Amino acid sequence: MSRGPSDELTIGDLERCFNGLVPVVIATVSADGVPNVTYLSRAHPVDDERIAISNQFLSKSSRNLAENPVASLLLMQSDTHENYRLTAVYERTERRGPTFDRLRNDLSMIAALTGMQGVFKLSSADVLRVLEVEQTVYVSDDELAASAPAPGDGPGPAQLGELCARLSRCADLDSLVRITVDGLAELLGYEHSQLLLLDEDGTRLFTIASHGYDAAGIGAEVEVGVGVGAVGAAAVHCTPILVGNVGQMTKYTRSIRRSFEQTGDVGPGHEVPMVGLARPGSQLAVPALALGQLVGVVLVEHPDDERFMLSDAAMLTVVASIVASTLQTLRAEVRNAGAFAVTPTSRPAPTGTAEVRIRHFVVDGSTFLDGEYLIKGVAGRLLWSLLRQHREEGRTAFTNREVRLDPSLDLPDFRDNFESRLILLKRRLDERASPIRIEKTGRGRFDVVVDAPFRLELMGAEAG
Amino acid sequence: MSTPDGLGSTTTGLPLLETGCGLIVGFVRPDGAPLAGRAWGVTLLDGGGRARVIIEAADVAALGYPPDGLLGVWFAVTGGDVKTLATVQAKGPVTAVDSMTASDRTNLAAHCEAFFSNVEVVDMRPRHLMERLVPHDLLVVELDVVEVYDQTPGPNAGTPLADGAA
Repeated sequence: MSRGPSDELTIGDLERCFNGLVPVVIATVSADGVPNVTYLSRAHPVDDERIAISNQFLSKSSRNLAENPVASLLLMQSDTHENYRLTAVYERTERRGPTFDRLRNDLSMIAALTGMQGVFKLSSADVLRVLEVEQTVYVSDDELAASAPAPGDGPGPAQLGELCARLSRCADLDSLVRITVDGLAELLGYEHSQLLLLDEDGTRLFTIASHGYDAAGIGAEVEVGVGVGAVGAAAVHCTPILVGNVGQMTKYTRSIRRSFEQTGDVGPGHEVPMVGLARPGSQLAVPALALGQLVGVVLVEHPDDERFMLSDAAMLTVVASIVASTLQTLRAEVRNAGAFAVTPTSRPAPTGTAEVRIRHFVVDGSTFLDGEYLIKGVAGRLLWSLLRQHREEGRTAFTNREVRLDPSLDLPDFRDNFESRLILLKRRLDERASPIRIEKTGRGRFDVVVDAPFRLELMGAEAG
Repeated sequence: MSTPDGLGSTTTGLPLLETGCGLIVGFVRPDGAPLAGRAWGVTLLDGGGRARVIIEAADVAALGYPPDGLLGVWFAVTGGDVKTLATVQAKGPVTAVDSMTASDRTNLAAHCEAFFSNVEVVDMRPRHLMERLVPHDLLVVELDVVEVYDQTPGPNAGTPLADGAA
């Protein structure tokens, strides 16, 4: 609601000025009367009387505040463009505590987008006490009403409960990941989502299921380094990361990266690709934790700015926690199920006639079907191993337990992630409508179904 | 001059202020406190040795100077490119506070058109929201440009670019 000039405003009334969508302006004056005016990427509310700013690039403003502690700031309400001028006085500098942590996490998110986690760190946060808030651009109530979104029936406890119930009925990993992203859309209204799982060595995340992306994105193996982007930051800090201004933040990070490159502090680097939508406005990444361990990350996106709130983070945390716990339980069950020995089954004759060419690169497990990239890493090595056994021994039936012991897969002992890789491979083959499929036959058991003759081509050191 | 994709500007240094960038200003009150405001156009004169800056009349009134009291007081204007965030700041003493001329009004219209177009395309913000910000009552502050700084976010922020018109 718009306020008249006589209404007294507090920091609490300016909530949408602190989302980073519109840069903040800060003016200061030196002891000898020279003004300085510059942009801040954002300010953070501390309480009803105070705001905090990170001062990593504000050396002149900080020096001025030390000499002359009054600042004048301009803040803009991102949705209405109502404008506010704050008069504030420098109160203290913080190098620890909750306010510092909040600003540090914000900066760490920015650093992660530019791949400069080691360079771009918060040293301190300046806390300013606000003496006066003056609204300088007003919007009439009629204009506000015209531009306000119609109130809708957002998802609530009933929809969350239904999704949790569906997840708890999942008896295998494939169903779990599918129900997760489908349910996020159908029940909670998150049309663009991804479920990413932590890899074997805990340094990367890979997408195992997605919903709401175009054909090029569905099921594609998107690996994201931990510490990169919203997903990486959520994984590193094990806390939800809400970015309501992806576009503005991307501009800011590009600018900073260029500046650092000019100083020689960092070398020219590739911009870290954002997963998902080509031009997201909002992203929310929530860690999936079980028994205190990171299992994966749930990411939701929206093309518009400011679509997610803390209540979304709370709701997704419930979903992510159930997914993580169920996933770990399923992994343990599958690990303990299934006999080592499987009665060899006779290899049925392929029904297709066109030969499929499978090319596998030893160096990184990259595997191509008829010249098109399919998958790499553990999942690629797994497919190669299964097809080799199929061709040489005529085997079609396998157990997870025996296959995970195959030394050629190069699985680590402590977190082998085998089931996740198997499901990833299955989903990639299904997505491609490949004549080679993986079909689950029981807990910890599966068949390799081959509907066409195939040729294996091994590339790399072992091939020679 | 615009970037290859037609958005933002490749101009750097003082001329950036004339390219439809986001303009902000810093005044000094009689008690030495700052006052932040927005600006709606810059015209560089004498090869950059002087600048005319279109500002909100209410900001000057809010400063509380007597007539001509602002003359000689230092003033700062900063412009940030909407796409690249390349930013430059000019500072110097106020030499005149004028009413808007026909030429200033032309400059105002050109600046708003360029700035709003950039924001519309780069930040996808509706133009009518931007138009809300333009004040009805405007004045022009003229200053001698004595100091110029690179204010682009990053480790170079605050680096002097040149003195005066250089």
